[in-house]
Amino acid sequence: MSGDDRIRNQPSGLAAARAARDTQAPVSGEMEILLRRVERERQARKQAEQLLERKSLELYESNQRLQAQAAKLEIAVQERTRALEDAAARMQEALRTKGEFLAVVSHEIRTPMNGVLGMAQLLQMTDLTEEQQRYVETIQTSGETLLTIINDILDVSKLDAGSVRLDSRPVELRAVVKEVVDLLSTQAQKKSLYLDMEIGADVPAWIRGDATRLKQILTNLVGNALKFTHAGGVRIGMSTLQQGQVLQCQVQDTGIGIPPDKVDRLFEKFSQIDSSITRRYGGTGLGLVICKRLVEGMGGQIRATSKQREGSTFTFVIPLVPADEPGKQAKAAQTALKATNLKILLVEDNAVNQMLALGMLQKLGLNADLATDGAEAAERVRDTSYDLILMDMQMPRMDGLTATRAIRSMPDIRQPRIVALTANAMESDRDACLAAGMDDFLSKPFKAAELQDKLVAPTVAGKRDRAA
Amino acid sequence: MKGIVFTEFLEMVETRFDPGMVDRIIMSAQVPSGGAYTAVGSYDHGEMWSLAAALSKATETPVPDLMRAFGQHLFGRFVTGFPRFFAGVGCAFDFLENLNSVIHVEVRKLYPDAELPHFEVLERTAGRMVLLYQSARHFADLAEGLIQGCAEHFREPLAIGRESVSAESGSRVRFTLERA
Repeated sequence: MSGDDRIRNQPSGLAAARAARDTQAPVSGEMEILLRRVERERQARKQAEQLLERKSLELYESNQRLQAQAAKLEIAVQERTRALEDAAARMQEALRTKGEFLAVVSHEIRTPMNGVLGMAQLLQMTDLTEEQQRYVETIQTSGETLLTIINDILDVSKLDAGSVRLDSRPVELRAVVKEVVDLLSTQAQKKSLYLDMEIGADVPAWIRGDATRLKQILTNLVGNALKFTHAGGVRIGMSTLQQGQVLQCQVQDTGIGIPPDKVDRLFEKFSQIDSSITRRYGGTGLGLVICKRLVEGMGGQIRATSKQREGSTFTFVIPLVPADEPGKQAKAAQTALKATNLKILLVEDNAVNQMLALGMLQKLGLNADLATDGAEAAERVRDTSYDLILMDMQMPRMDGLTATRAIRSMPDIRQPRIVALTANAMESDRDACLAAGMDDFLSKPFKAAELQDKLVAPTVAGKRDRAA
Repeated sequence: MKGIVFTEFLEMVETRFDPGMVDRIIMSAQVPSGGAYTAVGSYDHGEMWSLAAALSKATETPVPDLMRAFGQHLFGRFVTGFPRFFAGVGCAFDFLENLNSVIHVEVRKLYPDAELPHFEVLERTAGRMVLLYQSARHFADLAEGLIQGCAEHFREPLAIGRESVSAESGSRVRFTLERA
């Protein structure tokens, strides 16, 4: 029988062994060994328990530290987020202020320009000597140049503010290009340059788009090309790409070209390639910035390639959506209406502007009654049935918007067509005009032809196009 | 030295001899801990020398032989206790090469104060590997036993050659392992 067996065979094992030792009874060697072993195991267990407790405490403490760290990080992130939001808000506010400032400045400049250009136009219609005629022409071209610069600055600020909405109406592409060519052909002829257009047979006659903005892009590119070309000429090309889904327009010149390292900077703000260019050729350098933003707004891209002393090519591509030709009767109807004798009320407080508008109407063979503020206009509308009201915006006593709302709320009168005469070209103001119940708006300074266009409402066909 | 080395040593003595032998060598070695070891504790490495010397005396076997035998036993225990260190390891040379970079890294995560020997692979070809063992303690015999245990585990008979390299402190031993 082994020692182990003997231990197991005793009545209650360990307890009996202890009892035997405590009573000083003789204990076998195996028993002593067992007792020492048990004691060692007990000690080892205590050590292990202490170690476990210490490790648990360490674990708990490091967990606490981690939680504190996480909380601190969370706070730091929140603070940083708040700081960034504040900065963004301040930036937005600064941008808004800048936009408002530009709107105000443009308003302030456009109003007197309206007077200058309008008077020059009226003056031109009088009997003038050749010398006087030249002076008046200079006044007009200088004024128009100034107006172009103001419009460029306004355009850029509007594009920056994202407040430009592009039309999607039927556009007769060839007519747009032809208008650009007509507009700039004099300039080309003066420099003995050719100005050609070449429109591929695959380009549809009508596309959906914004005719005004397309014309603006092309005028800019062609005007630039003519400016920097002294021999040869400029060619406008149009074709389609990707099975007719993309319209590609190219303006190619044989001009002085652009240094390769400057090509990429062309479309950045105020980046005329050097100041000597500005001195020699004039301009704000904003034209190409506007072109780029407009093309991008149309979902397209613009780029330039150039070889110095050989010429430059500006190419832009935009998505092409063909459109049906709008109702053909529109123009005929408009012409017919024009002939009728319209009963017109001009509402305008500024004496120069009164003279100007009345003068232009006269040239168109029309007369108008005059009201000097909104309240007087509302009075007159009660007594007289007008076809058309030309309404200034800012007037003493009652402004144009209030007067329009007052007139629109009169139940018993035949409602006239109301066209705003606004010196403010910002789109938000135009929206306010329409919201008040006006039918259309005319930006000052306007030309006789523009006034003539606004005299009658667009035909039903035209309206349907706009709604589409 | 980690407690697991002591508990495994005593286990081996108990298995190869009997519980009386364990008691005897503890009593004769008079180790400060009283021989109460827990695997997760740490103890003075001198106690291992005292226990080994006591066992050597009791069994009339040289200490180096005992340490080599213990190394072989210990490796088998590691295989059983920590299988994840062996998963996907194909051969003894791979295991030995990973010792510092994988296994000892894991050990330090749990026991930042562990004093681990350093194994440096000086040379490795398909049939031969030269390892430099460096330790603050003189446990080259134990290391040799562990290498033997490793070879047995991977069923790769290895001829183990061994030569001391001069060291300013502790021990540096170059092991040359050759596949049979």
